[in-house]
Amino acid sequence: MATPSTQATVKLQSNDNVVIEVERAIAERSVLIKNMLEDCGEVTDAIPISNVNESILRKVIEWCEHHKNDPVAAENENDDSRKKTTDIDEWDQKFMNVDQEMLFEIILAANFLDIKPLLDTGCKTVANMIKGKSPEEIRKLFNIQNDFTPEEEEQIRRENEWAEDR
Amino acid sequence: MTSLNHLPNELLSLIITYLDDNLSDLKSLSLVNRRLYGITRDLIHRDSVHIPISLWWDAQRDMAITSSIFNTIQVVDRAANRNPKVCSVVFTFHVTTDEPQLGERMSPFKPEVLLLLFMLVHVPKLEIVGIDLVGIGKEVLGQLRPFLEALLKPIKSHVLVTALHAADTQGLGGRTRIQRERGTGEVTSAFLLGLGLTSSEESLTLFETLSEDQLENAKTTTTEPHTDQLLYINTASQSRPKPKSRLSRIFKRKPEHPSHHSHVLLFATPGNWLSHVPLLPIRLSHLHLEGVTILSPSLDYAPHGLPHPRYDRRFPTNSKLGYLLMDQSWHLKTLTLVNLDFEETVVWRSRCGRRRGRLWPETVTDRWRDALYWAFWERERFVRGVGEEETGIERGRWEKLEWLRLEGLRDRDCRGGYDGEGILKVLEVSIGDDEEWFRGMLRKAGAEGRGCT
Repeated sequence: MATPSTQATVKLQSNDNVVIEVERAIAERSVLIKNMLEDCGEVTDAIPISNVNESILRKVIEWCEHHKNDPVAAENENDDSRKKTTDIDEWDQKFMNVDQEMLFEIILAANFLDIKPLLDTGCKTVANMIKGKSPEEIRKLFNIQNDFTPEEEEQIRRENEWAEDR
Repeated sequence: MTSLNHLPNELLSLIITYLDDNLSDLKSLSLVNRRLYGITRDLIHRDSVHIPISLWWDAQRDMAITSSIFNTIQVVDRAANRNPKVCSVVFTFHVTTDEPQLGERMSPFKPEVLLLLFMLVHVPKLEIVGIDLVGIGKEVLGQLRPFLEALLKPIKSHVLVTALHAADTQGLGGRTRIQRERGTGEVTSAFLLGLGLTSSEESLTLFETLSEDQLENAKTTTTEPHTDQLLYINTASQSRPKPKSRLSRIFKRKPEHPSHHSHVLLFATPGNWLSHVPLLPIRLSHLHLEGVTILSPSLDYAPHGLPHPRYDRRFPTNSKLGYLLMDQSWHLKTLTLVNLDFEETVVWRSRCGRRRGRLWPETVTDRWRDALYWAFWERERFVRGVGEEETGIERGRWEKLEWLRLEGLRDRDCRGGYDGEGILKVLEVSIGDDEEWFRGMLRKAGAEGRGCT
């Protein structure tokens, strides 16, 4: 393992070739980057973030900056503790108040960069959008095609009728 | 453009974990498209297996099933064995008129079939056997009944048997679920009156033909033709029902028929019953009324309301729904009242000009308040009613309630109504210190806060 680096900033390169310099502590909110830095020691070149474009990367960095002092969740922390609530703090709610394309890009980026709290926030936001909606409303909201035949739909409705007894 | 469709299944699953405690959201998602159905299905049905059985039926010939049932049962059996938590097995019957090929056709009474089904209903933790007869007509049911009896006969006595059927096959909704222990006698659903009826007049006529004795003792109190679909599990005894039956999902209007309303009469009251209404001793754990008109919602013969026998006499209600809720407040686990209308009061006058019909309209100005006010009276301040000691009930009112959804409560008399927050304001004196509990229940059920409309 490389010796711990005292490097103050790191460079991240988006998939549209824009290099953004950020504080190392902020970049290390990403477990992917943190592990990479720990493995490689001093990194002078820009780290390619191949799945994320500039605008999303800047957005993710904005989130990391705001949350840089948050305690880092333990590696093996039980997922249930994260999933118990869909409450989202006010800043995060504003942060996630973006169009759907960006919201899903942020979720994908958080997943790629392994930033669990951001991923959770994104997923909670989507879950909150789904809550209380009918199938048709969900389709309309997310522009999803109904690929069921009427018979299949009826069959699922009948199956679902039984699900309240558990 | 990146959309929900572009998320991999693992991320969709993660999103869905945040809906895990809300079955209605999961059900909605399962109906969006095939992909979401595939992801949500195991969550929705984590404790149950479903066995679809297609019946070929021709009026001139014996009913048949196809040999594909062996594959179906084997697949389901493997699933049941893989998941030791399975506690319910549901048989869903469909009728097809496509005649199976000769080699594939077999009698449902074939010993191999019955043996396989017998093994299926012996999963170790089995608690419920479901029989889904929605869409099965009366004629088919006549032939199916011996098969059902053969299927149910070996089931252990503690297993609850649930029958789900559609009393109304005209697409108006009206599905009924009766659930009770094997071996109990009568269908214990005095509340389930007016199945599938489409007008107030029809149901009232029906009940006028019933005597008090009939109401008390009838297996079911309606003569509606499909009713005997409920009776096939009634063969074990004629003893009084054990008070453990439960009833759920009464009447849900189909969204594809928004202009149609099903109608439900909660119960009929014979004559001038001035002490209390003699409801059958059943315990409902789920009451779901959605998209229906509640007929004759008031206890009109009781101008100042009737107290429930287990409540203090200071708590009288003029509302049948209120009375029913007071009756079941010890037992209900879920209560869903969504998009309901109270039927408009029919007022008419006799020849001498005397007011008939709803005799005392001035006594109840807000029928939804009347329905819910005493039922949700602050639990700590609730004074035990007459005879409560004898009931042997140790738990308090609403202590079992896990789910409360109140939305779209309308009254045709005043053209007004309530949603969650609106009704909360009306009940604030009633619920008192329980406000947070009540609000939390509504929040949990995802009720939106909108005031009186």
